[in-house]
Parts: sequence; C-alpha cells; structure tokens
Amino acid sequence: MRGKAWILALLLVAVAAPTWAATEIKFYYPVHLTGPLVKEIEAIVADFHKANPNIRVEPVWGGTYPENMQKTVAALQAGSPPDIAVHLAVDLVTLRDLDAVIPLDEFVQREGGEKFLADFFPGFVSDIKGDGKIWAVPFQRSTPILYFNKDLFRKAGLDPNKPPTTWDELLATAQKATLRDASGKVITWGLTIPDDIWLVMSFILQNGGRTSSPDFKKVYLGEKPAIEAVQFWVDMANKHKVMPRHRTFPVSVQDFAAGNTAMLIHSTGNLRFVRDSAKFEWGTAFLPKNKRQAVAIGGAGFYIFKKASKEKQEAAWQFAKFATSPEIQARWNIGSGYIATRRSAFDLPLMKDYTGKLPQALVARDQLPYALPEMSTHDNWKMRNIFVTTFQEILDEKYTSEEGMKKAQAEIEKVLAPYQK
Amino acid sequence: MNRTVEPGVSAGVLVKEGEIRVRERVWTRRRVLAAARPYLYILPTFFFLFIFTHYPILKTFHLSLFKWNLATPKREFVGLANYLQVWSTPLFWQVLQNNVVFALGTVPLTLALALALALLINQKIRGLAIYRALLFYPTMIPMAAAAMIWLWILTPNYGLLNYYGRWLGLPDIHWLGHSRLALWALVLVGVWKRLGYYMVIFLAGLQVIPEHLNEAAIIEGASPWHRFWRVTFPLLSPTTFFVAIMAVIDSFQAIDQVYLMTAGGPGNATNLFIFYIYQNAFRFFDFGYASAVSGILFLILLALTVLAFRMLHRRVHYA
Amino acid sequence: MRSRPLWRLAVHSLLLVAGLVMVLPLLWIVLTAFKERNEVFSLVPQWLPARPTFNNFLGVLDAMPFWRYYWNTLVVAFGLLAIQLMTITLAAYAFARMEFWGRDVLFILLLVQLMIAPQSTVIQNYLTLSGLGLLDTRLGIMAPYLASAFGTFLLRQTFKSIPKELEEAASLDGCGGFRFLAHIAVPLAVPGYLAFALVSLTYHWNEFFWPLVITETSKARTLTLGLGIFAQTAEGSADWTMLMAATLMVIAVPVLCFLIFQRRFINSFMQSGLGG
Repeated sequence: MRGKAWILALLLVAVAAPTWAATEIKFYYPVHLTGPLVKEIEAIVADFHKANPNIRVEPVWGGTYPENMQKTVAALQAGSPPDIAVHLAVDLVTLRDLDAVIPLDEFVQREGGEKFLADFFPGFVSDIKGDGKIWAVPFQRSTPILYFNKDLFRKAGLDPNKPPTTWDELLATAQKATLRDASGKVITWGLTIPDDIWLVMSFILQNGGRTSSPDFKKVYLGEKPAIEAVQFWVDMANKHKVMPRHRTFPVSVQDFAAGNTAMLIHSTGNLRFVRDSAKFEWGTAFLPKNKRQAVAIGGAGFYIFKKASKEKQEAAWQFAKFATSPEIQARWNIGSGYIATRRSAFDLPLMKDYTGKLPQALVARDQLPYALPEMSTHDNWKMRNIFVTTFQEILDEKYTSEEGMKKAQAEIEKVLAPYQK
Repeated sequence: MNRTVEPGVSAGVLVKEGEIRVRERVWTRRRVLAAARPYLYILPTFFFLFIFTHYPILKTFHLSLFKWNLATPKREFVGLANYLQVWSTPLFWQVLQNNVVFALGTVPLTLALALALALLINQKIRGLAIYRALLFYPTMIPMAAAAMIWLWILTPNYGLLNYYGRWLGLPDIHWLGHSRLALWALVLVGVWKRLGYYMVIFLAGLQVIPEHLNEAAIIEGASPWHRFWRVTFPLLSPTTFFVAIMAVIDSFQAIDQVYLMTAGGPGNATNLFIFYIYQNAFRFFDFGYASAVSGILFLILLALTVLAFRMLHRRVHYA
Repeated sequence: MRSRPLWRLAVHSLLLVAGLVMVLPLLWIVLTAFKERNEVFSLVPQWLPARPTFNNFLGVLDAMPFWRYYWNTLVVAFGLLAIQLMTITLAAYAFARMEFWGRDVLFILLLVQLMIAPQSTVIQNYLTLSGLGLLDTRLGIMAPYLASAFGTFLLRQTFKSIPKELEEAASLDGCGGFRFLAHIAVPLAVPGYLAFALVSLTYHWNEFFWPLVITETSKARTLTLGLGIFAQTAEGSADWTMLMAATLMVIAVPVLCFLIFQRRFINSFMQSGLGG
C-alpha cells in the first residue's frame, strides 16, 4: 500500500511539475480587426504552448491601438504592467519616456545578431531602433496600398490592368471613374481615402517632404512639400470632387467592398475583408508617386517590459521569437493581410501557394523598398490628434492648407517644447 | 429625546423612586445612543458618497494645481498654470461652445416633443399602452446600442436616412462626416433616446392635475389651446423647469454617443466636455490639464444646480 | 374630452408616426441580425433578409466572450442593487423620520451626487480605485454607486408617507426604532423599492462609459461595454450584420423584460421624475 502511494505521489508531481514550474507571462495585444484575428492570436499562443510546455502565455486583448496603449500605461501606473505587449512602432518614444521597456540587443545577439535581423525586412527594423539599440521585434506591419475595382474601371472606359502610378494619373483616373447622374449627384466616387494621418504622411513623403525628425523632437508640417501634399488631397475632395470628405477608416473599406468607389487607398491589413466581401474583380497597386515613390510603414511589434523578472523576460523573448518566426508570420499574413515581417516567410510553400492564388497580396511586400518610418514624436497621441483635427478643418475649408499646416506646426511645437533638451 | 424613566426596571438597572443619580445615567446612555442613531444610519451612504463623490471633486481641484503628464511624470506644483493653459487653448472654448449648442439643441426639442406626445397619450384612446411602449422602449436600451443603430441609419449611400432622403429629393448627406451637421446628428440620437423618458415624466405630471380644473375651463368655454396655456402648462411648469435643468446637466455629461459615433470629430466639431476630459486624461496622459477642465465642469454644474434648487423651491410652494 | 372621429384620427396618426420613428430602428436591428453580410450594402434597403441565417450570432459568440460579459453584468447589476438596498434604506429612513443636527446640510450634500454624474469624476475615481487595487474588477465598476442619492431620495419620499401615528402605535407595542424599520416600514415601502430597483438595474445593465474607464480586459467587462468595444474595432463596424446581431443579443433581455413588465417599468421611471 505504501509503495503504491509513493508511486502515485511521484506521478502527480511529474504531471504537475511542468505546470508549476511553468513561467507565466502576461501578454497585452491590440487588434484593429476582431473575430478571426483574436482567434489567430489565440492559435499562435496555443501552438507556442505545445512547443514550450514550460511557459504559459496569458493573452489579453486590449482593444484598438490607442486603447491598448492606454491599458499598458494604466497598468504601469498601477505597478503591474504586462510582461510583453504589442505596441505600435511609433509608441516606442512614449514607452521609453516612461522607462517601461528593455532593449533587446542581448537576445538578438544570442540568435545571431545581424544575421538574425537580416531576415526581417529592413524597413521594419529601422523604426524600432533607438540610440543604436533594438527595442522591439516586428510582428504586425503594414503599408498603405491602392485598391482598385476593375469592373468599375471597365465601366468608366479605363484599362483595368493599368492603375495610376503618379499623382497626375491618380487625379485623371479618379476624374474618369467618378460617375454622376443627370443632376450631377455622384453615383460612384473615383477615389476614397479615409481621414487618417498615416495616409497623409505617405502623401507628404511622396512629395519629397519629411514629417518628423529621427530624434522625435521636431515636426516639419509647415514646410512646402507638406503643404502641397495636403493641398493635393484637399483639391481632389473639394475642387475636383472625385473624393468624398471625412470617410472613416472602416466606412471607406465598406464603400470599396460595396462597389461605391473605384479606388481606395488603405492599409494592406484589410486585404482579408476585401477578399471575403468584394463581388467584383479587384486589384492592388503601389501608391502613386509624385517626386518619389514612398509610403509610411505602419504597424506594431513586441515590446518586453522592464518590470518583468529576468525569467519572465526570457520567456517573453521565447514567445516573441516564436511569433515572428517565418512559419508563424506566413500564417499570420494569410489570416490577416499584415505583411509577414520575415523575408524567408515568402519562400515557404504555404505562402507561395497563397500568393499564387491571390497575387494582390504581394503588392505590399514589393512596395517595401520604398517604405519609410512613420511620423513619430514625444507625446505622440497628442501630436497626432492635433494633426488630424487640423487636417479635417482644412478639408472643411476652415483654413487654407498653408494656414492649417502652419497652425498645426505651431501647436505641436508647443506640445514638444518640454522635450527640447 | 427626553424621556422620563418610571420607577421599575429600565435598561436593566433597578431604579428606585428618588434615585436621581441613576435616572441621569440612564438618560445619558440612552440619549447618546439615540443621538448617534441617525448618524449611524447615514454612515454607510455617506462613507461611499464621500469616497466616490465628494472626495473626487475636492481632489480634482487639488490635482488641477499640478503638472502631471508624459513630459512631467512626477507631479509638480504649478498653481493656476493649468487653468491659464485651458483659458488660452482655443480647443477648450470650442468644446464649451459645442456643449452649449448641444444642450440648447437637445433640451427644448426633447421637452417640447415629450410634452406634445404626453398630451396625445393622455387622451382616452385605444391602444394607449402600445403607443406608450413604442415611445418609451428606447429608455431601456443602452445608449451604446442606440449609437450602433443610428450609426447605420446615418451612413451615406445605403443608410436609411439617406435612402428615404433621396426619395424626398434631398442630396446624400454624410451626417457624421459633416462638420456642421455631425453635432446635430448627435442631438438627434439624444432626442430619440430620451424622448420616451421625459414623456413619461410629463404624463405623471399631467395625471396629477385635478380634473375639475379642466372641466371648469371647459364650462367657461375655453378652447383646447387656451386650456393648455392657462391651466395645464402653468401647473406643469415647475416640473418642466426642473426637468429642463436636469436635462441640461445631463447634456453637459454626455459621452457614450460621442465616443462611439464620432470620437469628437470631424475636426473637433463634436468634442464635448467629458470626451475632452477623457482624451486628455486617458489618451494624452495629461492628468493635470484634464483635472483643470474637470474643475471647470464642476463649477458649471454647480451653477446649474443652484438654478435647479431655486426651481425646486418654487415647485414645493406650488404643490 | 373630445371624442370626435376626426380628432381621434389625428391623435392616432400623430402617435403612429412617432411610434414608427421610435420602433423602426429596433425593427431594423432585429431583421438585419439575420441577414448575410453583403445584403446591407445594397443601395435600396432590403428590409427582409433574403436568406435568413444564424451565422451572425455564432460569429458574435466567437468574436467576444459573450457569456462572461453576461455573467459580469448580472453580478454587477444585482450585486450593486443588493448593497444599494441596504445603504438607501438606512439613509432614507434617517432623513425621512429622524431629527438630527445638520440634517438639511447633509441632505444637500447627498444631492450633490445627483448633479455630478460619475462621468465627471472618472479621473479621480480611477486613481482611487487604482490605488485600492480595484482596477479591472467588478467591485470597481460598482464602487461609485454603492451610495445612491437617487435611491435615498426616492425611498425618503416613500418613508415620509408612512403616518406618524403608525410609528407611535408600533413603538408603544415595543416595535420601535430599527424593528419598526425592518418589520413595518420596509414592507410598506415595497413599491418604492421596486421602482428604484428597476431604474437601477436598467441603468447599470446599460452603462458604458464608467466601465470603459475602469476595466482593462474582458475579465470584468460588462455586456454593453463589450458591445461598444466590438463596434469600435474595424471588423465590427465593417460587419454591420454581425454588429446588429451583437446589439440584439445585448438588448434582448432588457427589452423583453420591459415588454412583459411594461407597467411596472414605466411607473418606476415616472416616480424617478417626480421624486428627483
């Protein structure tokens, strides 16, 4: 009897040991698209558990990007931050201002240093570096692309295989594609771009301009290229009337999927929704260039937090490494539309098969050589809010482009004043 | 609580006739207990009230005297600097204006419609209960749900409002994207949501108006219009004013529909007080500034409250 | 009152129009919840679903921890009510039937809560609860409401209407003070309690903003907040049919309760206007 009891006890210990020896880490993540994406993340976590029985990840969905950021900051204030979280590349400044995260160089060195980083697309690594250190691992990255409705192109007498490649072509195409009825009311728009600063940034970059300084202390919105870029957008909406005003991020995608607009400039992350909803032939293309081909990179990566113990930080790295491996990134790309952050992901049979069937998915990746870091400063969310509301006021013709941009510039400079040290 | 103690057993103490000392002690113990009782009764309520209503108001004013944001992660006393910053921020004045317009748009419209509907429902007609239910049910659903459905109705192209608007020859309007109309769209949602509730309040008020007053007026040959203005409305007016003030106070604290439908846009056209405070505290992490704005909101609400109290007194005297 | 047919027709027509304006959105929610995703994009609104489907509801259950939200809401609404019933009973009784020094001043202090809604005190309440470790908890959601000025006010009216003679007679029989409250006053005030309960439950079931501020994760999140968050994320708002299904699932219980207990609900809210 005694013997059996001992064996039982040993068995119990053996079974329980992995779980109580397991390191538990809390993982905050944002998702701009729910449903399948929350499931995708949970699937990644589940697969990670299978491969790493001694680590348990508790995934916590924190809402949209700003909401997730707010939760992290709240948790930091309360003294119990997550161990690992997905935040925008542009949130790096804020997280460093709060002294919340650790540089990842040691971990990266262990994996092969430069060789490890080389497999990531360079654009995705350039904006998570600061003071020569690496602060995040790229996880869900995207660029804006041009979606176009081939059926509507045909209807307007345009070549469905020749999307516009320059600003002039964009305007001309949009003018041709805007269909009006007898009384002049618009039936379908030629182009739709939602009021999103990320997209305005791309226009500024395409015009040869710059948005913010690499040291996060200055913005350049009052400069001529920026003003001209905004003017071009405003003209398309107000002068040439090929674009509706103030469409929100989600509504603009719905418009495209519903066939109400011939072209759409939006994140590649919507690919899945368009794929699932569009009942017409559609294509994707690079954003048109003006003085140069350029887009702003968007998206987020894994940050590991300072307050976590060394053990948890190690566990967090294991998870980050897993989730950014080529196989997982390939799956993530297919399931969402975000660009797989690893070059080698695109060589996997799974991806080759997918992109064979849906070539539109490759445009975002092919555009990467022209991708530049997103605008980022201290007090980022306040800066963005000033920028976008002033931009909306310019669109409403409350100010001219020049007045508005200079006003935004002045206000943002006031916000950034305390950081000019 | 003066009570004479009869000789005998009282509070467990044997009291003999002439035992003055014992009587006093008994009185005192009883008295203390009796005097403390009301305070003990209100203690739980005031305990929570103090922590979650009174203290926050005081602390908010206190916090508003500090700089506490991303640039100054450790609080720094700055006196009235935050208030000066609020004063010199055009956006704050826009928010104030937005909220005033919102209140002026919502309250009279809601009250007038609610009163009209209450008068109609107060008639003796069949199907009264059904109409009442149809008009009142929006009170039962969350504003969040109302926001969802109105978000849909107001969508350009295929939203219901624009579709039926096209029937009437109106152009396609992107309500929530229009800097002038967006605020009115929010007013519309607010009215739709609260109409039933105010209607029911008015109904209650109408029902306590003594029937004989109306009958006297009919006998004197007064027309329905006259009857309303001379009899009904004056008797309702204290209720009306009081409800109006509460509605105005409510509109300065509106948030759900702003957060869910417009996020303050486009271009801050629908940025109202609570949203502005929320933005500054929880998006820009500037607690000092947000507290200053909150402080100003409290002062506005205090002013409205004093006004409401004056109305309340009038009502008591009327009744 | 007039009962001429023309007059009645006018009244009915106006009420019908008003009723339609109120109920059409609800009708749309119900019908759209059963439609397929793309049906909603047609330029001509299709009222009836072409191919009714339950997929949207399944999608909602997939996309958010609906049952957990449901449970949280039940705990918050009813748990809060239970505590409120205790605090308001004691306070209302004191204000209604006891004399004490400072009563009027304290009563005014009580009314402050009616004027300053919790929306306005979010920042400080958030910081307080954070300090107490109650962020992201159901208790945290309940906290600012544990004392209810509205309930106290309402119940005070009710208690005041109990005749003094009754109390005096009862106390002569040895049933004074607290025992009077518990055994006589409370049972007599049941209509007041009911009115308060319905208003409180409705309010807290439907609350959005304060839970938004105080909760971080889905651990303590309530149903209405879950709906709002679901809508915010792009897929939620791009997917109208699923959003309508989610909305329907959230409002189903309050609306059904209302349809069954109409009279009670309406009377409760009526009292809230007269009382406060």
